Amino acid sequence: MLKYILKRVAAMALTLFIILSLSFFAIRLIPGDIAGQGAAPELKAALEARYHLDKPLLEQYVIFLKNFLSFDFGESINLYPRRPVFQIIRDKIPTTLQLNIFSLALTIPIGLACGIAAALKKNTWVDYAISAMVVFNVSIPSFVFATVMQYIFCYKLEWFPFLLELEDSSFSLSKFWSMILPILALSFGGISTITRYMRAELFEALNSEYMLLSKSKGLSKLQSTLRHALRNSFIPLCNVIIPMFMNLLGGSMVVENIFGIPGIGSLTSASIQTSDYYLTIAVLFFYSCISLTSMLLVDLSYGIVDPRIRIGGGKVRE
Amino acid sequence: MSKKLVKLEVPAPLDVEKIMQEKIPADQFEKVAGEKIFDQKFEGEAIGFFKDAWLRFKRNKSSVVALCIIVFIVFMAIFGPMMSKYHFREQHTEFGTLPPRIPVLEDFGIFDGTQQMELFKADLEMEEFKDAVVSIEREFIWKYKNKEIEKVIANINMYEYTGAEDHYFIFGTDNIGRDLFVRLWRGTRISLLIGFVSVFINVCIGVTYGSVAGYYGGKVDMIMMRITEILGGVPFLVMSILFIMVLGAGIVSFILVLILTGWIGMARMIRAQFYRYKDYEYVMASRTMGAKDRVLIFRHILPNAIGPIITQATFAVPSAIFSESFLSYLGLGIQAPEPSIGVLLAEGQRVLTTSPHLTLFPALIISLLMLAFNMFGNGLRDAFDPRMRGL
Amino acid sequence: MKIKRILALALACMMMLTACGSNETETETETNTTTENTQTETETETEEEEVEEYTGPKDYRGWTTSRATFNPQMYTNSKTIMNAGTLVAALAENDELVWYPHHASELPTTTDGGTTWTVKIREGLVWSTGTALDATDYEYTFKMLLDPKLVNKNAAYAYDPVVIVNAKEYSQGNANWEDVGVKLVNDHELQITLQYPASELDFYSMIGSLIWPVEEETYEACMNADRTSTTYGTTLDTTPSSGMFVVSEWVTDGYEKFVRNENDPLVKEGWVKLDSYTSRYISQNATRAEMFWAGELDNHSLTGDDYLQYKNDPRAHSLLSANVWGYFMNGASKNTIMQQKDFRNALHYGTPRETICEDVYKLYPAAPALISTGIYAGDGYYRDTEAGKAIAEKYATDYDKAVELFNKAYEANGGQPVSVEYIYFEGQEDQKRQAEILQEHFENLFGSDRFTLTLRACPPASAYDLYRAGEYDLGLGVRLMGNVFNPWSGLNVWKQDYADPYITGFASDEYDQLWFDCMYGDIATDTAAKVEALAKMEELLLDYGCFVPVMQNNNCVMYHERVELATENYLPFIGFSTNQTDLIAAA
Repeated sequence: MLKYILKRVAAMALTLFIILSLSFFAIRLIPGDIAGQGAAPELKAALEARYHLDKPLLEQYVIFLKNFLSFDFGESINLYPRRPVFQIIRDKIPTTLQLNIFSLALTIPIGLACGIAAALKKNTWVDYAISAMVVFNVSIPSFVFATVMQYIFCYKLEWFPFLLELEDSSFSLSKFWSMILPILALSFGGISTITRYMRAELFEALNSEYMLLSKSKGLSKLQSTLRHALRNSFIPLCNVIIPMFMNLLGGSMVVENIFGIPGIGSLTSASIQTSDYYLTIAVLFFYSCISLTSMLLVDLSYGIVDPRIRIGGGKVRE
Repeated sequence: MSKKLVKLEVPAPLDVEKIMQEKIPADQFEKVAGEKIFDQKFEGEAIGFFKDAWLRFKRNKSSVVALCIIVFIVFMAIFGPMMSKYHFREQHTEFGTLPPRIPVLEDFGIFDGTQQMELFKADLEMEEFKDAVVSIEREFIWKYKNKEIEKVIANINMYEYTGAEDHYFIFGTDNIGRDLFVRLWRGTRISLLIGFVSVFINVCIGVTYGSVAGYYGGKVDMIMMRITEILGGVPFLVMSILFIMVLGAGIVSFILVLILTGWIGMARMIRAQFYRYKDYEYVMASRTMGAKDRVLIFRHILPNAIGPIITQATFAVPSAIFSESFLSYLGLGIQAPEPSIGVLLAEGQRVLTTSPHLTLFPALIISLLMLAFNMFGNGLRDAFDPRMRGL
Repeated sequence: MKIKRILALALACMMMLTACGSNETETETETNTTTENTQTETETETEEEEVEEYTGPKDYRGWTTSRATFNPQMYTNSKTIMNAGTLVAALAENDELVWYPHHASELPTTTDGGTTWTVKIREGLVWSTGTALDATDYEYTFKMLLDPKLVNKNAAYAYDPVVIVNAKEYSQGNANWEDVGVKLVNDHELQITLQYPASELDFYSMIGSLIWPVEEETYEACMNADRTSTTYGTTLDTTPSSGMFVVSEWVTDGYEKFVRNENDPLVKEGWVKLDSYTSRYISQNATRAEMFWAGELDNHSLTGDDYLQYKNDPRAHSLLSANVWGYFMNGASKNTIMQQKDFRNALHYGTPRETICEDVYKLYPAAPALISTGIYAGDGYYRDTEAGKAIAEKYATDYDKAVELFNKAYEANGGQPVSVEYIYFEGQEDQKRQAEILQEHFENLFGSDRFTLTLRACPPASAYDLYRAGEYDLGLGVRLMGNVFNPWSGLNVWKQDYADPYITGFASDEYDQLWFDCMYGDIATDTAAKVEALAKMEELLLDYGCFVPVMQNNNCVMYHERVELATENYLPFIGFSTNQTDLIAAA
């Protein structure tokens, strides 16, 4: 097990390295001047020297890697001039993470509950209602949904504040209240994804042979559903949750824009669009880290959910 | 065993038998001609894979409806722009942001081109409002720094107001007076094009890649899967923004962005199918008879995956359209003046509360497409894989 | 003027915002207000008010689009630094602009006609950190601003267009600090020596208002080991204040709160009425609008669509922009048709600026010439002078002339169908609309079989880089007029030796000579001659065809009814002096 984890971590490091290199070169391809934007031209040469842009590309790459590996992520050039990149990301992570975790905490249980209910009560009004919700959710883009929500609940009904409350850094009820709409907007798509998968998986499990066996053993429907069907249907669900988490981070771009949240989502597009070199690389790196880590976690959790999957075994699993 | 269970659910053969045993006058047979053909087929020739699927698909009402919707939307996307006398680029700048106005319906007070406005009473005296006021909803006094100012909430006929009495823009216009109806169908065409082309290419790449990885396994598989992991490790959004910034926005770059990581899911699925089937006896038999790798891959193993491929591809089309709309929201949409559903939605979102029609119609189409493709995909899955029926 | 470039970047950085104008103008106006003062109420207003005075908390709720840094030597996104004081403050008094000493104890004076300036600093000034602020802080500020290793973006404030002796040379490492024209006379007096004489107005509005002091202790503490970078002003802790307000809370891209600085001399004199100013980062115009209507914001910029309903609203206040937006034309493009002067002129005359303004922007007036109606030449507006009017008339929209010129250029180019690319800013709806109108209009006007216009969206930052590199045909944009009182300084961007040119192929010795004469030469003090020269310069530019003016982004701002503006008139340089406002009721 430990060996397997180590192997995976090594592979992850390699992947990260490749992503890092790719982003280093990809940003160079974007038209635009990395150092000079808005700088007095007589300073341009000095700025270029400052960011080593006057050296050959390969040498720049070596310098960059060296700095990066010694945890010197550089400074923002255009977006937040002279502010260390690490500091920017560190300041922005908590808000985004907080929202996303809340959103996951809402999405997963509700999604599971809806999915289970729909599968158990298949082809009844419960199922239809849930399916209708799923279809509604997947067919409206989140930016439209969030705008409409803000219009209705903040402007028309005045139930919620327009923007996330930031004044108080500690957690309070009113702050939570202001987080509700952003959380809902974030959870919106995820709930239906989980519901859809859960319903499909559970239904398949309910109709499988081992369920027949467990029934014939004399287990009650509840027992067999809980012990066998449900457990089996959780396995493929892990596959859904990783991309969902990534989508959440993407979705926060929209939600952050609309609800005035100083998070990392809006940082991504802004940094790319201003060719903010070091910042972009760091943000990309951050996202990749999260996605790779969650992939690893999911793979490991397979082993816990389903003992049949022997981690580290020779056969490649899917 | 599961196969048996499912078969029990198919009552069709029983009915036919019953009918056959009854004595019915010959002249009545013609009316049930359809069943007769079915009967003959059942006894005679074998039903092919696709035919079988089609028969099952037909029985699923909602998927048939979904198919109809898709056909309708595709039809409109191709011919819709021709149905209007306006061109998608034709501007009537003076008729900016008109609400929808539809010939017959306007007499019933809906879609009659009016818009509610909060105005100063003094405004109503102005020349341009003279004929345009349809009704006054409410009058009230607004206090501003101890002054009392009379205000009204009035329904204004925007067509009168802008001098567009002779025009009917059935979905309204955007803010430089282009007909939304034409632009919407034109946009649908482009969105669908992006969706279909990208999915088609994804399927091709994914199938080939997944087959090779799955069939050969071992080191090849390890390396190939590492590559997908790297690609999959970069978040889609970040990757697409980077990509579009490098290439510039346009249909081709959109398709490329969607291809960049879109094939990974397909490849993984195909690879899994190969892992499942490549050890089957029939494959081994074929191999011992000297079949080449290519034959084994494409002739013997891959056909097993046709059902899942088609189903997955169907689901991928609307999500491609969705991704396109999201990128449009970020300002990375198709180049003007070409519209797409995403571009229209993103434009509409900015003025959602003041001119809701600009969001409503594109949102309606994208919802219908999502809904239809999902139901259609479900229907296909049931048809190709009866075990999954109704999931 | 570097302000232009910096502001141009400001626009560049504002992604996915409202149209080109809606924020910029405010940034510009608030910008230069930097030293926010509150002004005694206009008398008429006080008479009308018979209700008892509002004594509750006065917290102004504004909005911003982003704050990059509080380092006054580096900030690029917004110039609204309320927390930093300057030598001189521009204030609104009796509906007029007045210059008032802020950190200076009296308005800086010159004895030799504008070359040597004596600046006396007030006694008893303190930083929010508690340390004293005196002339040494200003000397340190200049030194750091120009430091060759720090490469500060705002360094140019010290040598362009008001040129401090050897400032530029020092910043490039070619001079010693001792040679720079900033001398510490004693702890409360500085002597600043200029290379060319400057008028009082120029000195006050440039050196006096654009050099914000930095606090030495913090600045040094934030400096890295090899003295190439400082994190000064990047967090709340590293942002000392010396202005009328003190930054008390700051969450990057979240919000910022300023509270009145009771130690500030102008606050002590009672110029400031607000207790605090909270500024929320709100990127969506729709959100701002809803919040304003719901009474949660104190100001909001109207969009074209709103304008229809609210143009007569007493809350609406029109601004007068100093800038004319349009598109650059690259006469040096590889595209041969672009090299035809007649073609470029055809585009100028053929641009449907009136349609664009009336139907897309609604708020903004069309502009046929380069210089906005908000620009002063001497005591009055330049556009009101005879020379200014003549230019505007000569270059007014004229489709017939456009077609005629196009035909000429078309033949001269070999009679082949031509295609030209137009760059617009991505994510900004109105500008996209403008592009689409231009495309449709030109193709109809010149015939789509002969002329096609392709459109290309670009983030503003990349677009401007393309202009710098000359890799474009036509490109939306603006050269911001930094100083409304000195249009000549802003026109240096078209000079041949300008260091950061956008490539248009324009090069004229006559132009350069005129510019020098107006700025530093013989006629620098002769307003009438300068106006003539300005008109000539404008004509040279328009005649060559390097920029097609389209509109002037006069925004319209709604103020909450509880806001009592410091001035009823829109003033040059400080606008409505938003920061001098008062609140007369609770939210």
